[in-house]
Amino acid sequence: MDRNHTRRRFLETGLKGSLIALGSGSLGSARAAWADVRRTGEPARESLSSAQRSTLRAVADELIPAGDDMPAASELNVVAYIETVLADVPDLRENITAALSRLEESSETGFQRPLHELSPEQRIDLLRRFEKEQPTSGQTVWGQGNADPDLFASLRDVVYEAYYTNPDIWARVGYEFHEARPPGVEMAPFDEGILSVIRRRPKNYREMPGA
Amino acid sequence: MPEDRADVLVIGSGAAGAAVSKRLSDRGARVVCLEQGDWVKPAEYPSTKPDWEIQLKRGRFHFNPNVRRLPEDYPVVPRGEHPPEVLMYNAVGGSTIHWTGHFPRFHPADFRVRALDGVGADWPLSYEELEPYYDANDLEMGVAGIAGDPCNPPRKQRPTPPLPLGVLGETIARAFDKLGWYWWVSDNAIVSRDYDGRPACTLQGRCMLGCPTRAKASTDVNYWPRALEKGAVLKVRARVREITVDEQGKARGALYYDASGGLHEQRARVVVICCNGIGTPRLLLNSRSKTFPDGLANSTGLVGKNFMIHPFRFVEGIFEDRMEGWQGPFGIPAFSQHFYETDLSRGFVRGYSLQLERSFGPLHQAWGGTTGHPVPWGADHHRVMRQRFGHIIRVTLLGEDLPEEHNRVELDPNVTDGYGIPAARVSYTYSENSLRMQEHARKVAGEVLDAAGADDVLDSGIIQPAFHLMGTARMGDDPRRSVVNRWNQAHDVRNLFVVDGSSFVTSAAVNPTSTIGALALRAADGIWERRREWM
Repeated sequence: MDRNHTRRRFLETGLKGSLIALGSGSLGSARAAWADVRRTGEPARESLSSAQRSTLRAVADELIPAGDDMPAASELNVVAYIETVLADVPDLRENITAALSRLEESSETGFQRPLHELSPEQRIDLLRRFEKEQPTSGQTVWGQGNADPDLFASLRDVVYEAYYTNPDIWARVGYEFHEARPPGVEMAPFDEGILSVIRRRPKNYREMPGA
Repeated sequence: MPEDRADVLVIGSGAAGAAVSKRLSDRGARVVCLEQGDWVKPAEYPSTKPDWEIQLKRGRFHFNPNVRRLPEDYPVVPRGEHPPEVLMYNAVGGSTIHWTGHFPRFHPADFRVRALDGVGADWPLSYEELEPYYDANDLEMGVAGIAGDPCNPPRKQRPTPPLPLGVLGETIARAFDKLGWYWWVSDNAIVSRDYDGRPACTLQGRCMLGCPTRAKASTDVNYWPRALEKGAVLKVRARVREITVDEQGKARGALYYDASGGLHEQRARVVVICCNGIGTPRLLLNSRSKTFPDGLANSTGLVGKNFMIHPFRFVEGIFEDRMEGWQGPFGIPAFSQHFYETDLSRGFVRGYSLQLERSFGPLHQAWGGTTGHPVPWGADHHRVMRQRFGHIIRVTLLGEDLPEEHNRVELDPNVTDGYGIPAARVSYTYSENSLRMQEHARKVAGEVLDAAGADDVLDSGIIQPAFHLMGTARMGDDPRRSVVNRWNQAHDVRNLFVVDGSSFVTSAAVNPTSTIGALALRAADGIWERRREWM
């Protein structure tokens, strides 16, 4: 028996709007994603095409440009972060790739060029129109748990996520993270296989007479 | 196969189930508790990790079970003109894992709403009857606060001193003073000094993503360890399908699925349901039999009706000075009950509390904060982010919700959980009274934020976050108009008890958890005192 709620069961009841934008319960850990990106400069798991990466990079820098002593989104390598997260959160990946496709289609239709080759003004114009054509937001305000399938909001929010989960940004906006009680270093779970040799050896202690 | 019969079977291990289990174990009863979730290790709380804010949008600690979709969750289908966003957690400790710890009490008048104001219904018990249990629950949970609130009856010295107000609390408190409005330091179930084996709060914030130090009370760290020491048995990953009944119409026990999908019956002399204002009616309605074809304890048809959530509205003031709302316990440093009692000249009956609250971190602020206004993208992004993050005081309306039968919990005819048990369908529509109350509170919040020096104000508008789940198996003396009696005992089934927010007659304008705990301790005493009837 499948004890997870099935996606089909939810969708059949008209809950599509409230669930499709939300991921599947998997997290896509920002901490792990940033650790991977920092180590290699590359996404830990690829989930976008080369063209999608170029579009996302250009879009990210229009959403969060440089200014006010703050770096642009791409300076933090947010694309690699997002790509790593999307590999773990299929529903979010579905939304983001759909958003990127729509923007690319608009760019080709309107300007006969890919979005990353447009001028900043043209890109902003495309984004503004894309934002306006989304369905009226049913976004709730407590954790955005019932967010609707607003593709622009999904794109904006994942760029914001990449930017504001980056510890380099925290001091610049006056935020500090304190671990309440460091849980210790991360180690792999205990593997009983390591006991296979010693388990075959005879006991090695003295029996106490009468015990 | 039937399992060994317990004296008392408790279903649900949250604020109510833990209190009942511990109290009865102390007396010597053999208690078995079935919990659909599992233990959560504090080291696994997202609050210990720098990416904790992501859980506000996705992940296994999200507040909404429809987002988490874990095996221990069940679907909730929202309906009505104001479909609620239902927030609950399924684990040992229930939603106390997630809550802020705000711990106010009902006022004496809250138990006499019909007599005083001609609305809702009266409770069959008084504040005075419940007061000793409020006090006992305070000691079990561990509370920070200070006695002397003029808006409430005198109460004993709080177990630990108040948590700090911070610049945020001090700023808004001065504004209340300036306007001549009442305010007081909040009671929080967060200890400010080492207490009962728990360390003092270290003011890290992020309380709603789990408190790793145990300074915030959750029943997995206070009630449960002691209940287990006394011999209570807690079975986790046990999803109850229905309450079973014998030929005389008495509760016999419960059928439940274990983690592997195996079906078992746990038998008991007394059954106590503590599954919250949605889970409890869902279980009762799903417990149909020849004797009870419309569900258990439902001869009145009232099970699931009169669902209440509290009208909420968030108003954020933006200040030039930094308020550092991300520092310190997330919950409420102070609150105002200036507009709590009925004054019909305001355009509505009953009243509300204003909670003066802190905020999450930079990512949540960028996403829109609690008012749903994302920081704009583009050239203005950094300027607006600098204006908002760390510069906000939130004033939250928590209004009294009145019972209305059209607001209800039912079994959904189409959706089931992973075990094939029908999902809960929850229909909710704000009354005109609640909408007028929200509008009044919006203006008042703007006024006090202006008095505090706010440059700008953001408003959430009409929202319906369902933190507090109440009223769906109401208490009363009249068996024709209520589901349980003054001891939380079902009118229809003498050895069945409903002990959680479901039993609330009215909601008052305060967070419900301290009242849920007090009612649970009182109900446990009632079960014990009448033990000769069923043990």
